[in-house]
Amino acid sequence: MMAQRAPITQRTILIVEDEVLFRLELADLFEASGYRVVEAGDADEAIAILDDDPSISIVLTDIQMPGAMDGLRLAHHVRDRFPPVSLVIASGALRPSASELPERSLYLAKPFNPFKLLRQLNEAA
Amino acid sequence: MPPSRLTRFFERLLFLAIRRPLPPAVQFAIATAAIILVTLVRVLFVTVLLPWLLFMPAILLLALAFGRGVGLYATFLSAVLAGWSIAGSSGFLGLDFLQWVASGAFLVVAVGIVLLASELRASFARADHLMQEAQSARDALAAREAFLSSVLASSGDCIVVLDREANVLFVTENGRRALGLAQEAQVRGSPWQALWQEVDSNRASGAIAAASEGHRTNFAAPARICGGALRWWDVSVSPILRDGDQSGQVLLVARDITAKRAGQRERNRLARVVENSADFIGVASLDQRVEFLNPAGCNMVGLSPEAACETVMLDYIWPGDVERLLEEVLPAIRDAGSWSGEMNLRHFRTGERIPVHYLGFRVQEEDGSLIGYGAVMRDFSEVERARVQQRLLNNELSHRLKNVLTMVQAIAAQSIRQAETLEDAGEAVSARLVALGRATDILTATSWQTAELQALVATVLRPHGALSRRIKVDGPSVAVNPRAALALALAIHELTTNAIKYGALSNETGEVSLKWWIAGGAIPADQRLLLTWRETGGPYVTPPARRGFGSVMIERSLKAYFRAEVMLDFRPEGIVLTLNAPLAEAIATDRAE
Repeated sequence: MMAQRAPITQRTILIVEDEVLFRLELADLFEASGYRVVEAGDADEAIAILDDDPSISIVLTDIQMPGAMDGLRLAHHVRDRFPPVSLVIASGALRPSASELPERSLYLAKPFNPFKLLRQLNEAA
Repeated sequence: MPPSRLTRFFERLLFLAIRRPLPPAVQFAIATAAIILVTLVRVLFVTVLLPWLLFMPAILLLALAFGRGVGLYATFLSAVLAGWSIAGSSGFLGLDFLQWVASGAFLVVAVGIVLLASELRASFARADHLMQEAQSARDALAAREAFLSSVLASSGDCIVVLDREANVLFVTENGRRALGLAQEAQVRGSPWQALWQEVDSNRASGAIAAASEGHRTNFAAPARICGGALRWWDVSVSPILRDGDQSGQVLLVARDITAKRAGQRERNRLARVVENSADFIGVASLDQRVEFLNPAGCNMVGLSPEAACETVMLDYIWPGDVERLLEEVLPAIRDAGSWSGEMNLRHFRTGERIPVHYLGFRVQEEDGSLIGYGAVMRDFSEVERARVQQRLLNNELSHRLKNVLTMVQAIAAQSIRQAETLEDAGEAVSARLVALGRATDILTATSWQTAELQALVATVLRPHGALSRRIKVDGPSVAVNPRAALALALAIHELTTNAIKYGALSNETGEVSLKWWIAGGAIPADQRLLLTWRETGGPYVTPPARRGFGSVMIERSLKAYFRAEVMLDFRPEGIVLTLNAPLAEAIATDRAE
């Protein structure tokens, strides 16, 4: 119902998070706020989705994830391949230094407040 | 016969003439003067009769005093002057025949006297020489005796002479004092046992017997002295020789080594401590040459004890710390006496850095002057490793805590979102967190490595009490990874709660069968973990119109964490959940958290 509120400006967010329960919660929240949500459990899956779906305008990724590539490398890949995409990077471990983070990215320490993130993204839009 | 005064006068005169001979010219001058004087006396006072007789005593004295040459000279001078004094106008040279004969006789007699007197003088000289030699021998003997007794007196040793029967003949003054004896007389003549008590009698007697037969023995032994104090003695027992032969007497030299022994023992003790210490203990000279390094030190830096003595202090120091050692540590040791802190050494063979706790101190003489540097070091690697490990653990713990909080956040948010009333939401959150907490207990027991399925299931079911007995659990021992364990714990919690509310456990007869097993594949990669939750005997089941968080969570989380095919089937006779996962995925623990 909410998704129909703003069909023209609907934005697509890719949530890359291996913690399923949290991913589920984020997905519910963003969907309820009118976003189209795509989910991935690791970086490889995310890259495949990104290549197939040009409508993705926001990538929210965790840093610590299983697989050959972690979230930080995924974020750099996104910044290089899809420059206009907004990047949100979250981690429960130590905060990476500014030089480790890609340009124009938002860093969130886990646990973070998804409602606040939602407001920030809406304001930026 | 006592010598008369005259004799003694002559003796003295004679010895004086012999010991201090006058120059020959003076001797002849005295002789000439004496003879002329006699001639004058003869001319003035004595008649022509026997003109030569007066010259005899003078010639005799001169010969005795000055020897043969002067005596003969005086004889001929006397003959000439006597002849001159009686010369007349007739005859040959004024002397008649009879006078010439008398002069000749005088000459012969006087020469005889001179020869005799000079022999006598030579005898005196020989006797005097012998006398002087005897005197100097006596003087030398006295000096030697004084020397020996001062040597004996100054020796701190206890020097004892024993006679043939091993009785005490002599004890030095210092020896007497060392033995606690009041007077030497106390023990003179007593057997040697009066000097030392409780001595190893066989050894001492044997040594004394051996010495009296010409053999020398050395030994060290304890013995009590007069007054009862126990002292240690270093004893040398040797024979006393007289003219190269054994005299039967024995010389016993005993040195009190009690204090030296105590010092030696103290040193030995300290040396043992240093040798056996697990710490690096080393000493270097002022010019930084290493003079000593204990075995633990050699071991710590990979050196042999021989090689250690060819090193200098800086060889041991990690390059990055050399400047600090020279500019901070050594000056502090010199000025303040010690320095302690952390320092890094370098392993001689591997070049590895060795972190140590360093305590440096002055090595000094008794007057406080610096003669070197000492250092005690303790290998710090373990502590450093533990510190790093601790830091990692803390980071890891913080990371896990945040993950758990994130999970709690999701569970709480989802429970609230799905609940119809706030109260339902509250209970659902609490019950889910309890299940999560119980699973956490199982994981904590294995330091978050794995969880045993049997224990996990039992723990999650326990809060449901008697009802949970209607859940028949059957499965082998399988240890799954932490995330799979948490997901499974939550899933079983959801299934049980649902069964109690609406399913097989909501009536009196229903049952649940929870089974798991490992199937297929000879190689581990092909093996699969299969799990089923099957409800029977419950009320008729109708599929829910809207999937709640519980069922969604079950399916999605199990799928994700087990990489499994999961099916939740709402069959009319009861709910059936099936999970089919690669075993390797369920038990792998190397997944990033």
